[in-house]
Amino acid sequence: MSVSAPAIQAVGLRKEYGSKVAVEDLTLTVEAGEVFGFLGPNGAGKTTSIKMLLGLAEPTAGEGWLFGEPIGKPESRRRVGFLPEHFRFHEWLRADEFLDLHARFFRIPARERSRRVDELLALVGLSESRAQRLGTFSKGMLQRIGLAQALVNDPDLVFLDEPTSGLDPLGRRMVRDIIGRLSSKGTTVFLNSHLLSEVEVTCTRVAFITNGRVRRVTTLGQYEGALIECELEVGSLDDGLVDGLRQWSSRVDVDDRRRLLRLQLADRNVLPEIARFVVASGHALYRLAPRPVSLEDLFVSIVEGGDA
Amino acid sequence: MRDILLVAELTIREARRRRILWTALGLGLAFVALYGVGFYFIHRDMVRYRPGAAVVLDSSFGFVVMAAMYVISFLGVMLAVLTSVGTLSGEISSHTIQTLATKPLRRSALVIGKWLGLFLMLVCYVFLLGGGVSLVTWAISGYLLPNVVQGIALVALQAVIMLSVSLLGSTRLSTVTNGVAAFMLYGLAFVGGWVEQVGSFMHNETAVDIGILSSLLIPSEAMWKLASYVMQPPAIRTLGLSPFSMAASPSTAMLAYALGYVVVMVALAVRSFGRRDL
Repeated sequence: MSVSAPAIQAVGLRKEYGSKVAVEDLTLTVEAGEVFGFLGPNGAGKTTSIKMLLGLAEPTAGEGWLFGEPIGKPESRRRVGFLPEHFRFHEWLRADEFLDLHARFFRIPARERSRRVDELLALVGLSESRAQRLGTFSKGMLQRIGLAQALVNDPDLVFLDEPTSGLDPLGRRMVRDIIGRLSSKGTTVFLNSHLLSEVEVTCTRVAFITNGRVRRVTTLGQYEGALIECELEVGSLDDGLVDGLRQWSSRVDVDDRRRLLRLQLADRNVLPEIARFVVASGHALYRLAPRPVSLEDLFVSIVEGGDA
Repeated sequence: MRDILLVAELTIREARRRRILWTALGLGLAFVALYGVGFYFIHRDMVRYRPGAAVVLDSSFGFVVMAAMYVISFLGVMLAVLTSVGTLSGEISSHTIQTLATKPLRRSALVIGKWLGLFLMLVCYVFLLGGGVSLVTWAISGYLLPNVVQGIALVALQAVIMLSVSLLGSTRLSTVTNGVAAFMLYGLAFVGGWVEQVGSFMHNETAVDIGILSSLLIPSEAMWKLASYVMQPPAIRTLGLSPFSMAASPSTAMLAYALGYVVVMVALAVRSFGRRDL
């Protein structure tokens, strides 16, 4: 397919289990090279969404493509790696055999396979356990070998479903480093995680999903177009000021006592306009302090507020 | 095709690693050896104390080998069901299937590959035991069952039928439920077979029809009947019933039906597994 096709494209993907709707509407586009966070409370439909994209669950409705290939077709998974949430593997295989086997499904030639297996074992810090059976592995080791497995075909798109759930802080840092490396190579990463701090440092963009529907997709932190929060300290407060500010921010929190206003802005380019507006409307402006919205605040406001 | 072979290889490797293969083979060889010792003494005494026409001796030897064949057919069925009963359902419930099914292969390759791996092990196993028993008998007494290769192939086919049914069940049912279902079906076919046999002896058409119906539902027992028919000594065939021989042979149409049955079961398994969420 064309080189410019997005890594992931989903249009109206829906999954029902009987009368229960697990995913109501998954519509999103992830461009090649992005590190994309997929966030939501438990039971929001995150894992089911990944399963649909990877052909493990057939959508009840909707369409999707991975690099332009329709989901569900074997061809759509050729450039894809996947670390499942339940990282259970054939425990009777040795670590190196396990990686070799999975590489064979991608038709990687034998010599390249053995080089790749060595590399990956080193990458996840399991070189010394290569001859050990997976049945003897700890939870953290299984997650590491699972991550290595997800990279065995040097994929262009990796789905990581809670990749650090079984790891200690060192293991988490390892995963973060690996994601960073993948990203700098241009690999697209689709990260499903509960750990917002982790998502905050690794992801460029995130989608929030609640009750099986994508509520918001936003750019993070230092990146262009990130959502920001802005605190204004003014000399006096009145309704005209508050109402006027609503043209930039649907939500205006007012702290009368300290004469503070809190705004949520989609774009930092409106800051000078806001300053001009406050001054022009006859109010003294003592402070205008923008800061990136913390992911946690955003998460809570979206999950609690339905749609923020 | 490459994916199918890879999955088959994985299946055989798993059986080897889990020591299923060696346990079954070791005990199978012990079975053949024990049979050999038993047959040696039976043969010695029969030749010593009841010398008679070769035809009578052969019929007696035939009876003993067929008893062993019957046990082998049962062991084949047991092994078929036990190895396949959880082969897909177990991997689905443990989630090990997820990393396999997200590789760029068709779901059908997983089903057919597993079937192929189990099929190869099963057929080798039945031929090893059946062939071992036949060869031991021949070495001691010089007696060889008629059409022995065909007969063993039919015994193997009986096991393959059970394998295919239980693989189909394994795409949807939990391991225990599937095991119960498979053995119940086997039991049904078994009883149906005997109802038909007795019905045919007593010229009761309803009983015969019930037997045929059960054979259509699952033709495993019919394959044993066909096997024992082709392998029984001509003398017994003319004399009539013994517990391990058949007065009336199932038609060769039943053989074609059984082969088609296996194909249909595997096709249904592919379809059923292809449609389920993992």
